[in-house]
Amino acid sequence: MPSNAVGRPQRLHPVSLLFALWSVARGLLFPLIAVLFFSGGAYQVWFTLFLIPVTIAAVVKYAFYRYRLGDDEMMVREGVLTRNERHIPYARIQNINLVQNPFHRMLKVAEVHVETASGTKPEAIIRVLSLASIADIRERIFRDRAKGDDIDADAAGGREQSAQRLLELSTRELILLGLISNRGIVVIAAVLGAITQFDFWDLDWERIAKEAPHWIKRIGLPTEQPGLIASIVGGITVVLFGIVLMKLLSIIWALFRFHGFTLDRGTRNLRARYGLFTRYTAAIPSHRIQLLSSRTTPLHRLWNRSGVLAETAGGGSGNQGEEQRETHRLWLAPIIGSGETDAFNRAILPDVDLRGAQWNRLPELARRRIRNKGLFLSSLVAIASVFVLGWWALAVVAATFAWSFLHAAMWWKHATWTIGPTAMAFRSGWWTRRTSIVRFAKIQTVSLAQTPFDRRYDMARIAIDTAGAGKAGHRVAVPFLPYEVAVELHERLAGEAAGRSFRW
Amino acid sequence: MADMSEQDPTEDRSPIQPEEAPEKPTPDTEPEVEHSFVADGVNYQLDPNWVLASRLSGGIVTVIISGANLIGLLIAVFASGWRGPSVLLAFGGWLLLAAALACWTQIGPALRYKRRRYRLNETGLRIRRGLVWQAEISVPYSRIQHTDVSRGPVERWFGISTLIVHTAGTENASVSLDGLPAPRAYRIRDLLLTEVETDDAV
Repeated sequence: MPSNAVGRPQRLHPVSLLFALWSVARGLLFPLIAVLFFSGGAYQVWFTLFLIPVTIAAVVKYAFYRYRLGDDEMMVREGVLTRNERHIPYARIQNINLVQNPFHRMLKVAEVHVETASGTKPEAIIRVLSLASIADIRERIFRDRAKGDDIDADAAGGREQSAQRLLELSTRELILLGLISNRGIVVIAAVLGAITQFDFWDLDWERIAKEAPHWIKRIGLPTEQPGLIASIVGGITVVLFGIVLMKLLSIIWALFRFHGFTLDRGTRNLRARYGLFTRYTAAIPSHRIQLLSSRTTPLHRLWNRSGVLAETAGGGSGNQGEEQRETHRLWLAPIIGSGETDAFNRAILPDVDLRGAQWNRLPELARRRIRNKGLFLSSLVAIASVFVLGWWALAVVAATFAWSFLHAAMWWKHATWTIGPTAMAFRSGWWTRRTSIVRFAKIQTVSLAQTPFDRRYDMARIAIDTAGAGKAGHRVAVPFLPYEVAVELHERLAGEAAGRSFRW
Repeated sequence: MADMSEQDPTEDRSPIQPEEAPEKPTPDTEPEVEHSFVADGVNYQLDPNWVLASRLSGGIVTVIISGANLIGLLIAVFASGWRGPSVLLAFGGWLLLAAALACWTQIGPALRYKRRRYRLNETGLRIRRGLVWQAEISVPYSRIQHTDVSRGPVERWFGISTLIVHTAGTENASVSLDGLPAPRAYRIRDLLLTEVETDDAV
């Protein structure tokens, strides 16, 4: 392809200006309203002066922003006084993600997030471009990659011929997802936060306390002190109401967030699309998946569902930004039937097949060690609680000891690991059960660790480190392995990893 | 130095475990030979000077901390006008703390030296370390993003270096190996440079 045809710097879509002004206005909206309504005089007039410099800044930013698609790199230039020119080689670009809110969709434009492996935030956010220019960019960037790639020309809702639909969530599934998840808590917290923003503490609380009985009487509720049973019933009602509200909000969240969720697989990429108001389009090259993890809670199991998420590399490419490594965890299947998880995982990672794999349990000694640790910690808690609770400490002792036995038995029962020809997997947890799969090609380092207790019982822990492993996420780290097994695993994993080259 | 007298201090390369010691030619200039010499799959111990260097820097830290504690204690005693056994007790406590710190920084390095090994073979680097919490970590060459060789003032004084290997991992994003004889650290670095894959294709 000739390079000069594309070498010309290009501007943003003209409506960018509109969106830039809107984001400026949105930032000033609340202060503006506050000034307009709560202060008299000529303040309003003066306040609008603030709008002038930010508006000029937005216009200037638009006027000087250029992007150019070169032969093998893309360039983004911005700034007037301090000019910043960023060159992003196509080979380094991992994802081109689109974000569209309803206004974007109305005007047939989108925000483009160009992601590389070099850290937490997108390398470049281009806001906004017409869908036609975005198709150009995609075509350009992914031209050199495998032919028949599923980078589609019409990102906003077009369909690909070569794509294979892996998952599509119906409204029913989304409602189930809402019932299972506790996301509603976030909404409640946000509402509470908003309330406190609106001068919640400045209300005349004394007056409210004085007049509250009046209001209650007017509604028809009794005002005298309720009895014990009544307060228990009342408390339970309040808690139930809270749970119902939370679940309702979770359902609403799931419906909005994952509306029309589809996951397609092309020859190289996975493409997820979801969202009601703000529509997300994420292309995930499947070879960038560092770890695949599925998770079930008791509620999942009640409805025979589970969730699958992937960790993709967000690690720095080396030289800079060690500290800004971050995990990109994304739900490949926010909710999926438990029976379909294995087939789904195989579709995501075609080179991993754990069907015939033999899942190994941990030695029985592991259960006793977990139990003993629990009993030890329980004893500490019990001793501490004697000073606070007196005789009630016995109840604490009974509860924590029972918990130690239960937890050890259940954890031991459900923890298994397996190693296949291309990957290793670890399953753990009993309340929330997680299974993680790491391909040998994605192993960064392997470590074998022994605590003094491990040495006493001739055991060891094998842990696999991957790029973009989240601190909170589940990992392939198997404790309580017999020492010889651990040594063998260590050799095998290190060898397998060394024999495969790592690509981001 | 006394606790590792079985090693010959005049040997110019790092002492190796006697049972595994292969007869290798002494250092030479051709890079290929150097590499095969470095990545020989033998478990090496650190440079014995590492013990001295660790003791020295540990000693400095001990002196600074204990000194600061002592000054603080003296100020507290004079300012508050304490007298009697409580002062003795306080100084006793200080002495105990200082002695513990001194013991740890002076005896610890020798124990750690005995325990620590590193090995390079055709596929990767492996380090064994830790006294109470022991660990063995494997870094395949193909996962090394880049390497650093760093030398602090004390390390320079004793002619040793620290090799730091960076991977794309998270928990073990960088793995450091201190106490290498300086020339050897550079040789390993050169080996890693050639072993590390240079293609960045995605």
